Amino acid sequence: MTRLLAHDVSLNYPLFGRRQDADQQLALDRVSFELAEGDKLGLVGANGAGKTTLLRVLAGVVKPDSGWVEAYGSVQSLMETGLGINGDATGWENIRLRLLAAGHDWETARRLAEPIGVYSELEEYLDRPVETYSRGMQLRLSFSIATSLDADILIMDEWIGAGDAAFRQKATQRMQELVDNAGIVVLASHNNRLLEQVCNKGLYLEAGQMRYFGDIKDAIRCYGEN
Amino acid sequence: MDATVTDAGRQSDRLPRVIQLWRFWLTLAWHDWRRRFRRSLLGAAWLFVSFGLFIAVKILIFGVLSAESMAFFSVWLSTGFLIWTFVQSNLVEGCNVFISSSRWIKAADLPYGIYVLQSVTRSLIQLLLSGLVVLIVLFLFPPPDIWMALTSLLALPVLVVNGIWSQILLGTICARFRDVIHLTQTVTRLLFFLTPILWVPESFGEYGRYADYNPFTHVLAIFRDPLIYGTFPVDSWLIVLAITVGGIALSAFTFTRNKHRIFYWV
Repeated sequence: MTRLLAHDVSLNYPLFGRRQDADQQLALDRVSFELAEGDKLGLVGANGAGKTTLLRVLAGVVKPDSGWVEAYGSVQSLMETGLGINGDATGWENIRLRLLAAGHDWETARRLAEPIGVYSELEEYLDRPVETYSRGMQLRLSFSIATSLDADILIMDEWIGAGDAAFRQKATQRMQELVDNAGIVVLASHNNRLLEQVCNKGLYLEAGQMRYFGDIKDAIRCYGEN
Repeated sequence: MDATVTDAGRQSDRLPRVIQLWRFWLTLAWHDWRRRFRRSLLGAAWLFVSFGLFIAVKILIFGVLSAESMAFFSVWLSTGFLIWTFVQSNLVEGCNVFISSSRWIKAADLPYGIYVLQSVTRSLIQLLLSGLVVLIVLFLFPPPDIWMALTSLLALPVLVVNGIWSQILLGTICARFRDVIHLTQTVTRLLFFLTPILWVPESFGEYGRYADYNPFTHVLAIFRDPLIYGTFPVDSWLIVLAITVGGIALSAFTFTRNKHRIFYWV
């Protein structure tokens, strides 16, 4: 039974290189919610509201100062492009690298990489170093890997921004499949149409505080009114 | 309140994740290695060339100045420089071990030990390849007792363990205090001259014994003495083992207290 819970999660971001000012910034202030199997949560809020920080806490990349997260199920995350990618390795190598990081052996990584590469439609670019890719192409690669890694809980940050129309349509379709697969998805985006299409729940963050948690449409409306 | 991220689906396996994911960090080390020699004609052969040339020139210059025989000095310098190169790369690269992996640290929930093992593996490959040059030197000037000479191989696992703890320790400290990176580089450069690599303590008579206060003298001795004197340096081994145990404790203490902060520091 897949579940994702956040209990009173608070986090202060330490600031460096400043002398007089406060030495830390409150990024999350006692955020709590509970997601059950099949829930798709959309995070809304202005830049700097704490959306990315919350995603990182949920992905287990950073530990909150107080409160805790309980994840029942395997977690995969898709953060901003360029992270979790080895720039001087080729597309194929990066796909295999992420599969190895997920604990697969050489043979399985090689086998599982095949459909991921095909799905990305990067074709001959997959044999070139990722640092030669455009932003959109990098995103396609990252998206293809993250959504193929067979996770119960998928955490995604602002992935729809780049990518051409054709791939965007394909990505929305893949998101729909994930929705149907009854896993948990947590998605931060400024694209309201996408959020309404994919998510059933919404969480509105303002300056690290949870202003609303409930139906996605109400969360977007709440955010719009402010 | 205790803050934890639990993952119920993953707790079945006994081995630490950092060991389970050995294929991952081995691949990362391989990519680093390949980047270093990308589009170069000689590739990894540059290692032999540069190490071999360095040794050859140093033997010519310092061997003439030195009171020791050419045979003695050649083995002394090549073995000493081999081990020193490994020590040095662990100290210098250890400072940046977490900083240079920030793209992974910020993206994935993976144990940080992965990046340390990636870096130590890189240094170890360099040690083994440069070691081939030393093998040639040893072939020209064979050690006095071949069986005793083999005990120098025991130094290798100890060196690797020391490389791991020093990279964890330096990586953690340097992520927070960036000045320590430059400090380490400066001190390492000085240590090269303070450690008996280019010089032999005996030729300094009375003053030579001060070399014994330098821990790196003993780190070199556990590898070098069996090859050059045919003896097993018990004292040096005890000192190095004590450093190893103390270093592991210090490193584990520093790392476990700060590991949740490293994310912000890199």
